[in-house]
Amino acid sequence: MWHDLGLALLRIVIVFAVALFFVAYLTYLERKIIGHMQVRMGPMRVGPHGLLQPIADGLKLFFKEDIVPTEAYRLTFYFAPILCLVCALVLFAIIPVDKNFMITRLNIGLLYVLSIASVGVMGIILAGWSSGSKYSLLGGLRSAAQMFSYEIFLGFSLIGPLMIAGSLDLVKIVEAQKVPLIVYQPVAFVIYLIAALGEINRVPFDLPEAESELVAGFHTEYSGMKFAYFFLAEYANMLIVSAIATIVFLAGWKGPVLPGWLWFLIKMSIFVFFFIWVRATFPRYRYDQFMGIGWKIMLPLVLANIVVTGIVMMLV
Amino acid sequence: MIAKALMKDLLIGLRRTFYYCFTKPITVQYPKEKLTPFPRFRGFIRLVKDEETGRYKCIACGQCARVCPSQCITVKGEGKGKERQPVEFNIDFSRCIYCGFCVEICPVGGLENSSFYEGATYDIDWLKFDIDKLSEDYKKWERTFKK
Repeated sequence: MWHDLGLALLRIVIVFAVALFFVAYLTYLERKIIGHMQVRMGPMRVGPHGLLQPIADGLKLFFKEDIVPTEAYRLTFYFAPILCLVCALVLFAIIPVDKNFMITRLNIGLLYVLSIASVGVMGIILAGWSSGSKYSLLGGLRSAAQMFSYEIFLGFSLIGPLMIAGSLDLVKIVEAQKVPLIVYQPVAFVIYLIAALGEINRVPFDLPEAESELVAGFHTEYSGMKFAYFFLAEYANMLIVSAIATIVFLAGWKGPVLPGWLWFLIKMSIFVFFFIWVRATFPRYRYDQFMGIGWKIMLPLVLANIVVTGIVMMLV
Repeated sequence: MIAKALMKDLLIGLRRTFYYCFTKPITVQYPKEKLTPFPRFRGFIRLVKDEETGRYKCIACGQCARVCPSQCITVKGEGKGKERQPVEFNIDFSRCIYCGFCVEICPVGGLENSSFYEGATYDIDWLKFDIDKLSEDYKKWERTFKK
């Protein structure tokens, strides 16, 4: 029993250490890639090629003064960033990096991901509401509308692949794919990517933050470590979304020659790069355009995708 | 319609940024690398000495002080006719706007623009140049930002 417990703890430590390391360096990677795409260099000063920048940022945020506005609801104000971060990190528990390497195997893995992700949204809404600031409240309202509606498309776009894979268990989903599911489900894949961008507040759909409109949206009033929690949560969510895309559409750890975990990381980093690439390219959508894309284009498409998948599966 | 469905315009944009991702950045990392200013760049003003005689070319006529829009030049001269030389020549570079009028108006070419431009300092008195400092080689003015 102790042996099992020790093994489980070891796995947890490894996965979380690696995940937090990735999350920290994702900020560096993002600044670097966007810099080069804008013919700049990105961080260069801290360490060789700015490699120690995330550590410097972390230290700075850690030692910053923790300001709570007088108008804020203290309890929720403290609670919201923790909720956000915990919901993001807890999702790493079920990501199968390799056939045998995951913290726990859940037979309703995908459902777990979707449900925890929607609890994470609560953190943002609570943060916006409890800050006692107009901008935060507007950001929170926007994220409520945005994330609840885009969660629907995110869930629906995963139904097509699920019908083919025949399971919610992430391991089984990967094992069911002889050919990566992206071949059978290209429409679902594209819609998943777009919905994921909306779900994790990334740039063409970063309406809850919207620097140029809402100062910083839901985290306007946050500073120091509490702000760092939101920041970490955002990047952790990006990793999670990429991991799910890898598992469901690109056959997870499967691949020739290289070991499984390396394949998984390579495929995941493709998605991560894509999200950063999109951020470097597109401006923000207007709010009504954003909702229009969701309800008028993506919803019919994704429903049609499910229907067509069902019909084809019946006939074959 | 098909182009719109395939998100053609978005893909064009993505291709563009991807292309620029692999071009060389145009950043000049300032304190480490510096651009050489163009030949007619208007940097800090220098007082020119005649190379043969070692005397100032300036005849202390005071036209530079009169034309200076920010009135940062003060001149005092001594001597008559061709013997006239400046004894005091101050330029306050904390007020100078680098318009180059003084250089332009000087009848004997006694002032020149150097290519020195790093006037950011912790000590404002450093920017108040007297006659000796003005006639120094401008390379002496260059210092690092670390103190």
